[in-house]
Amino acid sequence: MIRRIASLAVPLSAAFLAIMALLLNAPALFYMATAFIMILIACQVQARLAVRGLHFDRIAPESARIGDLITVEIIVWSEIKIRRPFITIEDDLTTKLMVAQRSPSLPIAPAFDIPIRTQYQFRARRRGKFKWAGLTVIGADALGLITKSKHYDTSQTQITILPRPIPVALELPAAAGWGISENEAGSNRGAGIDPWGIRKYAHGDSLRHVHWRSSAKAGQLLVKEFEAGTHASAAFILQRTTGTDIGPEGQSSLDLMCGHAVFLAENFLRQGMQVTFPALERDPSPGMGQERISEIYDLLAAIQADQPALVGDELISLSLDLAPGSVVFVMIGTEDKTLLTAVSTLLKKGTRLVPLVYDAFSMAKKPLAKGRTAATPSFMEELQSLGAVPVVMPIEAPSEVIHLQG
Amino acid sequence: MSVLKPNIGFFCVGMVLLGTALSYAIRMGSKNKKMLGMDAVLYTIAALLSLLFIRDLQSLMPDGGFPPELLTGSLLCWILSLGSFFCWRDNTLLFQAIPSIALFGLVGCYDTFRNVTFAFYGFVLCLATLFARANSRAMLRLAIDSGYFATLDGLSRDALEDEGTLYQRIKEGPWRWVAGAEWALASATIIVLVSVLGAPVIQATVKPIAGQLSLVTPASLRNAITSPSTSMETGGTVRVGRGPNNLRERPICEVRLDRLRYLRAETFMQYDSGTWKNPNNPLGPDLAELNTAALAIETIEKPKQFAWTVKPLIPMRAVPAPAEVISFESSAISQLPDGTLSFQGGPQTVEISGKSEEPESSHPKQAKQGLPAGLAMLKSAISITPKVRALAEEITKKAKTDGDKADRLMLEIGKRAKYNIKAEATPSGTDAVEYFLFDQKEGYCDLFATSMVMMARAVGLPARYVVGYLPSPQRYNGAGGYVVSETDYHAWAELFFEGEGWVIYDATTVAEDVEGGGRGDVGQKWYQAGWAKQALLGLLFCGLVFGGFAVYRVVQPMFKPKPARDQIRATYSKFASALHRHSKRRRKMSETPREYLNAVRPSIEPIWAETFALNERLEELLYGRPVPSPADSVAIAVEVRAWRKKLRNSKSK
Repeated sequence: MIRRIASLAVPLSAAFLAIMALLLNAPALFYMATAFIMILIACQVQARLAVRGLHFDRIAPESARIGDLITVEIIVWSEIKIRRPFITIEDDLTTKLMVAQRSPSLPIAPAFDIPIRTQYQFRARRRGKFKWAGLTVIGADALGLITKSKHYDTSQTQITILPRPIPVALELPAAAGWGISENEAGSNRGAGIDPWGIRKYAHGDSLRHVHWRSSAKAGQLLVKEFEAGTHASAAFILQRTTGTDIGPEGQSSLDLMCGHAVFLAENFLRQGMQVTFPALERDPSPGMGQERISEIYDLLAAIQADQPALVGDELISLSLDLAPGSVVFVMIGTEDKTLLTAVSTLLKKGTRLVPLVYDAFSMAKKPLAKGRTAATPSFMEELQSLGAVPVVMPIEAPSEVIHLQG
Repeated sequence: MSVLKPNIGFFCVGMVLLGTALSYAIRMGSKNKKMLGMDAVLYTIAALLSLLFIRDLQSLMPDGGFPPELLTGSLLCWILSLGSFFCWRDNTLLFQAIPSIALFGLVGCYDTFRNVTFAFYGFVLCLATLFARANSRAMLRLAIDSGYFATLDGLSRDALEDEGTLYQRIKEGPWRWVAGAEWALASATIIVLVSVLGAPVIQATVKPIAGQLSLVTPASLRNAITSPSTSMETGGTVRVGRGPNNLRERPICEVRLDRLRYLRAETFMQYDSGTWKNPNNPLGPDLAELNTAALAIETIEKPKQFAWTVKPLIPMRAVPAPAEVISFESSAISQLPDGTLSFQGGPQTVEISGKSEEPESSHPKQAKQGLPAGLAMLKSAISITPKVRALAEEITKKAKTDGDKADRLMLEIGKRAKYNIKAEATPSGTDAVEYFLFDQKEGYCDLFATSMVMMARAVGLPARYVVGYLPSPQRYNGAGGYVVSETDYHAWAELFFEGEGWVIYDATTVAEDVEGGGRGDVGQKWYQAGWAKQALLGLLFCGLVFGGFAVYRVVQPMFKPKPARDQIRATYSKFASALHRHSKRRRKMSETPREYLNAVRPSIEPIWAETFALNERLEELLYGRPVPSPADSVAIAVEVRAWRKKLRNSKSK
């Protein structure tokens, strides 16, 4: 504030001294006013030159998770052989990225034909694939009195913001085929209970799987990991019907589903299961390693609630593509009666189906006039009456996940 | 300095130095950012306290502080002094610029301390450096916020806290090429030099519209100005032997004359202890019946008339006019008994035309006899010391006529004393004329004129002291007029002769000048002085040598054959530029020629094969072995030229 006043003082003083010099015809004031005016002219010229004749190359990571600190590097070089004062860069980031904690760019002094790197950081609050181009250069003179800016077009940059896994403790009922031993269920019946190893407790792990003896010895919570069976697989179907994504951007019901889906998928893959998203991929790769995890992240990064098909119809149309013995997780936030028909049809065929139900309407900022939340007792009862065991999912993500604020 | 109380200046400088040292110690010693952030609040409190208790604070200053009319100056000095104790951060330090500029402006307005300009230039250089350093520090904070240092290796936690280390690291990196504080200082120095030369030009350019406002100088400062003040402004008195003259080049008026003439503004008859008094002045004795002008006109035997015009450029009280004014065309002025003209009702800028009379030819012989009793003071012996009287009598003892006496006296004064516009003041308690003629032997027009008058009176010649202007022939405006400036302000003696009236005796015309102290040197700028001209010539010579060398360095490579690879690089640039223009996609720094070519392939599909081949050839010549020969570079340049033609044709198709 004070610096701004001081900066303002120079032009004002120049004007005042010039006027007084003119009125009084005082030589000393003429000298003073001339010196100030010359300084201001020189500053104007320098600031103007500072932002001209520049070239840029932007280097951004191809992908990052929601909330990750993303560093964008911009290589700048000067076309004009002049010594420049500091410039800063304001990248034309798309507002859709819902950027938080954006840092200023590193002030640099571009040099002739020598690439100088600048950088800035930010966190994205919304998943998706985003493109942007162009940037604004802000330059000042060496004294910092005059600031000028110039917009430059640059090549397009794309970044994929992946969903962040939202830990969730999923107590799957045995009736859904979960928790049955491999001896009982057979090698192709899904997740077994044969212990495969122990590991540190992670947020979202069920307390039922804590290995108390090892935990007592180690002094920290350890949980059992289970062999899921060589042919076990899980398929996820997310409700993507237009108008069913409820809640603020970046924290909507679909974002929550994506967060849960990647968390569960990662856990299942670690347990040796195959995970597919039949609505999003035609030929899912059979891999189970990091590559597959990355594929899933990438799939979920771009999905939007923009499909005309209702979730039940989609489920029936995809039922033929499901791997035999798959456990199908249907994530639904808005009541959809077609799901009842689909559940009835698929259960009759012997498909194991777990509706993961979200109270999406409570995520809305304002009461919604149309539709009903999926987590109504009547809808749940209807699902149960058909033989399905719906699981009500928590709609509040752990604090470390939804901490991002502008 | 500008209020003639240097002790106040020393006091303020001392306070500011003490405050700055203390602020520096606090800044370096304190790690508590919260405490340092309080400086702005404390500064504001100090400024407010200065405002509220300025009268009390004023009494703490030496020599009774500033004159009451200039309390603002005192306030600014106190804000600067007290504020300097709280300049713990850049921002607050920069804020000190505001009272400083205001103080400079105040001094500039009253224009009572000419060297303020040099002080101001020093201030500008410091301010530029300060702003640049503050800007650098602000940028360093931005760099920290940008996360740059977090990505650097080898920076310990302590180093991340230390601005000095961070600055060093970033200076080796992206700030290597920055135009920082050194550049700001260098630029400011050049600007100052340009301003020194440019300001007089600007002032001369805006002359027609300048000077619309007249600032009343506080009475206490008037003695600081040795400018053409009339006795009206100085209470009817003018002191002589006041020390170095500080007249400036400010234009006063334009006059149109048949030839160069002395322009009388005011006359003085009474002299006592180094001070001339004007009996015509309302503040002086009432001697209005002493109409010396009428007497002079009566006395001139063969009068010759001539016309003149005076156009004041600044508001003037007295109108300088030549010889004996017999008529003038303006009701705004009145003629005083001594024949001088003055505006009624205060200073004005009205153009005056008139006619004056002078003897057809001047051969003064006999001093005026039978003067009225009231004009006895023209021969008054008051304040003529015996030494001066003896000298006057000695010189004139062989003179045959009064005119001869006057000539001899004038020559003697010119022989004894040298003209020096920078002569020291007459010590108090000393007779100014005696000191001038026998001890100091140098001075300027006032002492020459006073000596002439007193010595003339000593030998019985009626004489008076006159102040006015003697236009410089150098300021002839080409249209029969002269621009009269402050530096043309002058004093001379007038002796009353039978048949002639008042005859001018200017002893300065026969005196030698002290080196650098001649008439005209007063308004001479430092850069017009001999030494400065030599220095400027030297600088010009150095500039020419260095400029020539710089031009040689730029031009020389143009005539020197370039290595073949350099020429091929230039050819590739043309190749890439053509691709850029054609495809609208610029080559990225990170792209190899081949990658770039692949990227723009869709736009050059029709001539892809030969473009690819040409690119391959260029790559080979640029990066391959053996080193290409000049013939290769010529050949590839021809190929590229032909290819560019094809590219243009492919576009038009």
